[in-house]
Amino acid sequence: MKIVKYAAAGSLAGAAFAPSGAALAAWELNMPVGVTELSRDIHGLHMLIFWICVLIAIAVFGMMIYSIVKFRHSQGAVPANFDHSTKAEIVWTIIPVAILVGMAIPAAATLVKIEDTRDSDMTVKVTGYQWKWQYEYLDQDVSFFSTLARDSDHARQLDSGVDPNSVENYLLEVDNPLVVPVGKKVRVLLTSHDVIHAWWVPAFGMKKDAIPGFVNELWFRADEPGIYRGQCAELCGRDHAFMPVVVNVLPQQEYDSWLAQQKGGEQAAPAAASAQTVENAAPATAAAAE
Amino acid sequence: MAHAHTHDAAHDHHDDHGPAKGIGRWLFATNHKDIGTMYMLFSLLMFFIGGAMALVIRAELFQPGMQLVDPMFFNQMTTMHALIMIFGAVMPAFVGLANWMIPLQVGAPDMALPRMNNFSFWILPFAFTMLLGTLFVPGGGPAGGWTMYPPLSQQLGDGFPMLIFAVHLMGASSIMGAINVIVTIMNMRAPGMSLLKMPIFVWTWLITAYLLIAVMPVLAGAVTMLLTDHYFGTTFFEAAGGGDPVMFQHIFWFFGHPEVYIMILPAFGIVSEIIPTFSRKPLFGYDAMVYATASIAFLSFIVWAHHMFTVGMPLAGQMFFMLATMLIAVPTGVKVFNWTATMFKGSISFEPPMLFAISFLFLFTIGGFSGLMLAIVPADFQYHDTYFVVAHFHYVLVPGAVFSLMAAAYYWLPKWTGHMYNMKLAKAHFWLSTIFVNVLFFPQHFLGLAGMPRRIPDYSTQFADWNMISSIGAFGFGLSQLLFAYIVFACIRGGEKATDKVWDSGRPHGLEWTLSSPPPYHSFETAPEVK
Amino acid sequence: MATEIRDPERKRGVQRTVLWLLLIAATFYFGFIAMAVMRAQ
Repeated sequence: MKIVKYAAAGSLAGAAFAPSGAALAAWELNMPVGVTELSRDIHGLHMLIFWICVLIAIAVFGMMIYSIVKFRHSQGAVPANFDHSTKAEIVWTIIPVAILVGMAIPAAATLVKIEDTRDSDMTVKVTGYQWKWQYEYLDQDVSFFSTLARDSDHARQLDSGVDPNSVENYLLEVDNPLVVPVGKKVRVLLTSHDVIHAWWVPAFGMKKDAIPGFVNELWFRADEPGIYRGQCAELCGRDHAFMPVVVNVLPQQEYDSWLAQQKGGEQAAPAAASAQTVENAAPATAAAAE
Repeated sequence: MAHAHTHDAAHDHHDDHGPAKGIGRWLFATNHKDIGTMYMLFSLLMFFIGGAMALVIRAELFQPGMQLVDPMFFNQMTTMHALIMIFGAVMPAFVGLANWMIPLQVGAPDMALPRMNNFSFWILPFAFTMLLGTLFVPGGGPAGGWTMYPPLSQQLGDGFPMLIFAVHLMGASSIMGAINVIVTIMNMRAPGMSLLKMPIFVWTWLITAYLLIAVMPVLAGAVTMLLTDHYFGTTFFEAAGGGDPVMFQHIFWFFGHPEVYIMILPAFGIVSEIIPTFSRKPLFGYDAMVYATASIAFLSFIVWAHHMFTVGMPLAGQMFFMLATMLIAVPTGVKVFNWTATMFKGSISFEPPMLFAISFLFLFTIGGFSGLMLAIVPADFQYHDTYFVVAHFHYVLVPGAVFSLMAAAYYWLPKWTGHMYNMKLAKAHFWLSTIFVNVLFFPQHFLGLAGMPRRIPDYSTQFADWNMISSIGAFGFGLSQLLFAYIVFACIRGGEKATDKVWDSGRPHGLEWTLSSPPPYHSFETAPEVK
Repeated sequence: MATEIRDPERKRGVQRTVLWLLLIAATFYFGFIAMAVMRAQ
């Protein structure tokens, strides 16, 4: 709770975050606040530590600058000859320890909250591929792939001649975004089909690796509907930069009708009826969605 | 040096008096000064090769869209830039300094193991020829990051065995270099020089050498396992065979974290030599400096997992590594405070080595702050693998390690060559470097916080502005370094005669300043007494 | 004349230090591989 207060007090002027998902302002300086409790806590921690560092910097750099200016040889400064002071050395060992303890306590509290994935309302399994994401809604029989949008993919080719500024959400748009309901605790299970990827949506505050053969988990609860964008954050080969993460957070009712439509689309797809494996069903879903 | 040969008859071992002639002097070098020179020139060459790669990266990132290179080649550039800068530029430069300075500073005639010294240097050109050669074989150079995380690193083509073998060679070279340093320090000190009377640079190198001996074999073990996974059917890191890709990361970073201190502890030593000289005042808290260095080295073995907080560790593990990492701020803080206290009430003049040391002090501290921020696990979940991390480690490695090397070169170059270099040009080099290094790396903090992942060849348009600034800084910084190369070579060729003490500050006191500039080919034929 | 570079006492010291250091290096190399092998089983 305390951390949230820091977040409010500490946000820099330029940190306003547009939850609509429109491109952030250029010349961005700071971490956006985000739309989940975790991301706000993290932002608060970030600002807390940032300001502590600023205070220490003012003290230390101030002392350095003072010494450099005041004790110039060219101004005839005469050097003293002391080479230690046990008192000073004890002081500047103990004070940092105290500051560190002050930082560690809120950090540990937030960490405990982050790791608590219990009591989730729904679970989505995310699988990383070179170079796309697969989303599976556990117990819903809905599953699809999410790849870079076509206009971005066209523009990002070497010497494509397309100005990236003319492409909406350049490199941050996909064909099929992950869709989740607002205000629900969503548990995300992460794994990978080939190499290590990392699933990251800055507005949710969380990033975790998708590792082949292992399952990681994270959770988020988005407070506001909107489209949130992120990217793969672990080098995964040639097109690492071109597998964005897009999450569409919908009000519950819209989400329900989207889910029903997805399930309907699956039954309607003729190919999917014979092939029940997820891998085979997914392209059909993707095709149906287009 | 030709006159040395006229005295041959009077002595029983004539090769003790001057260098051999021609290429043989370098190929069969056993003299610590010749080998030190070769190490440093080699590292300068690698600095420019790795720098050229960095400029390819920054040129592609100048604006959004792909203009210059294929993403695969971009990944090869990021990977090779790191490997070359770490193993080819920074580490050999410090080993070169150790070769030159440790015998001079402890009052020894040479390194303890001169023939192994030759071997450990001459491995390097082969290692780096092989590493650079990967760029020309099918499949191209390594493109999975210098950390070589499997399974991605296993997708490399014909370059794979070359990469592994090159890393093995670099490791062998480093281990031999480290053995030589420790043996020299432990056995060759002048009579009377107890451990706590050693110059601080020698101390930091002693500790660094122990780190090298402990962790380079770990890297060798990790890449050996990558190799057997690739060719001999083992599955150390392959989940399909019951292995664990994350285990590689644990092993790698057990090497990798001490490795970053290997690149910064000798820098601490250099700065601790330079600041007292130009502050005309003894180093504040010598004992505390030694203990702080030792504590940093010890802590470096128990913080490795902070490089991999996002792999999904147990909560207790994350807590432990967070707290241990934060603890490093304490001895590092002690160092920064002691340097400041050394300048306090001194009488400071601003020759090029001091300028670089002061710049180091400020900019390394900024890197320390971002390091502290990165230690906070929840915040790291946002920072991890973004440009914030790139900004952080470049702040500690470029204005940290590299600036300390520049400072060392400007500090001891007159001692090595016997000539004074062009002070005006050196100061110009300092200002250009310090300004451009900030233009280059400071905006990368903003990019990372705003959400730009690292190791990407193209980015969404919201990141365009700071990337352009950063690229301008990169070209400015890169081109400024040509000036450094010019100053060094001009100084080798000639210049105003340097005195034995070189600096007129009344300090420094080390044994190296009791010798002529340049020092005789064999430094201390008779060991000096240290009181 | 203090200690001569080819002093036998110093030579033994050098050899002893080198052996110790090689032992440390080998322990880390084989130790880590052995740990990985045990974990894989």
